[in-house]
Amino acid sequence: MGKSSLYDTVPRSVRDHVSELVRELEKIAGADLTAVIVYGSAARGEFKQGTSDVDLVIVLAKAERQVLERMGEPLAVARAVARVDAMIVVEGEIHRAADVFPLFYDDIRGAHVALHGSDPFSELVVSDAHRRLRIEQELREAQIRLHLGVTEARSERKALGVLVHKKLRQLRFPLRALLELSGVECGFALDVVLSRCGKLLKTDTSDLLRVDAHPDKAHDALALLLTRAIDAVDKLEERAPSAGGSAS
Amino acid sequence: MTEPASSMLAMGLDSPVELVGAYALLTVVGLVIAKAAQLAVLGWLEPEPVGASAATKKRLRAEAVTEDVDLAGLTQGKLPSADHHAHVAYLRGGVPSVAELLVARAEAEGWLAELDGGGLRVGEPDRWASSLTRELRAKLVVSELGRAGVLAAARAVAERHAGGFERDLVAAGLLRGSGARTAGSAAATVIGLAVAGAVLMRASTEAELGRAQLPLMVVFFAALLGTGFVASTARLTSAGERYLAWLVGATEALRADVASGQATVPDDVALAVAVEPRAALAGGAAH
Repeated sequence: MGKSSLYDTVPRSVRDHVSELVRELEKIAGADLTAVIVYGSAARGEFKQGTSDVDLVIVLAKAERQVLERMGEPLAVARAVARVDAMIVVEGEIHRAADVFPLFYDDIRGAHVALHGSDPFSELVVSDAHRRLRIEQELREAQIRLHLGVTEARSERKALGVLVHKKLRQLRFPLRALLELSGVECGFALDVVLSRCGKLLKTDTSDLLRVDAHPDKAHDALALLLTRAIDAVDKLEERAPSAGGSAS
Repeated sequence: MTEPASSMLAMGLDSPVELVGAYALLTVVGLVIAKAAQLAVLGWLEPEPVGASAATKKRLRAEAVTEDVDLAGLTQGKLPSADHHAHVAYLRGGVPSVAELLVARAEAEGWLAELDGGGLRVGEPDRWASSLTRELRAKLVVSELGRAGVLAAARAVAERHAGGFERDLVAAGLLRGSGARTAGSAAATVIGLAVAGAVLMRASTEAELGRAQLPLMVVFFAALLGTGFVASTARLTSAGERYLAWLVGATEALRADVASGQATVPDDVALAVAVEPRAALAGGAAH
């Protein structure tokens, strides 16, 4: 099934709301609207009605305040009616930002559909060195925030569970990127990512699938997974220390 | 020809059944005219809906009673901002809906927290709390109390602002003012009572002639009941009804996210509760 057909699996009512938003954006931005790209679960065919967001990248030739302000209303309605989560970028900045957003760009490049205009992401080049740096940054940030979160939970099991759930959702992409960088093919489903990471890092991730039942055990498993993942990404640096690593 | 027969023939009626049927028909036609008259009066008195023209928007901004509220934001196609959430709640259900909104918003702001026993723990709002929830906090003098007590305090806050909401919403063309409602009801009542009076007079004539007046009395009471029904005037203007219906559709995902706990930002929670009763939101989460 092609990418466009995967987007077609999104319910008609949701696609209609997105199309209406694109029409509004065309009216507001005119020729400055270079592209509207849908990515994420809606482009991967994993959209779940009632829970999934519709992730959009709105590409503008230039970001003028007046245009952005006028876009606010249709974007707010689209968010409230169909969970449209939009990001606005300037066309000329996309290539230059590939060094700081490698995982985000990988996510878009993995599956996306152009609803309007050209596709600025298909020709993008992202280097492994930048990927590795970004993975390490996200893992270390998650580790620091996990420490702080535990202190804020104040021994309340429910709060600890919420914290672990939140961190797991955030870690799905850097962990998946770590797997790919280590040569392990992986889909986007969280349980698959965790299970493959468990194998790669030789750690038991089964408690991470039972967060609600045992939030404390899940936290300990997550903390260990994070430590080992950071070690692994560090080792990747030792293997390929130059910033000009292989690009894809 | 006997007198009863001549009397009926005077109206072109051949039998008592036809007589009652004729007055029943007269009642129905009269009530339809009463409703039409009411709608005509309301249409004449109803303000122009928001967004119709730049001049209207300017007038509405000038007429806004609640401080810093731009009523042009209360229009179809625009999601109401935080300044308008209480207006939307008031439009939907008056003071009780605003009270419910305040409690939900206070919980989302984090200073009002549900306790295991069903009560609520009262904390201190931070600087981002809305002015209305701060006013609610000022009314809560103990650190723990039941939900009913918090709701009563929220009602008091909502009642204090009800006049302002009402005037703003009337100015925005979404709510009917008491003057328009009274005039509309009066127009319908006058016509309805005239019809009921005609039926009563005929029933009285029938009684004087020694004929059964019970069926006409039934029609008379039906005319009175119908008049009461027709004369009742909805709070919302047609623009208000359309605006609320649009808001329900436009916040479908947001309300579901609030119901499931996915959306917890105070503004999101407040908008969802303003548009739909909290119980309905909770029901939505169960599905």
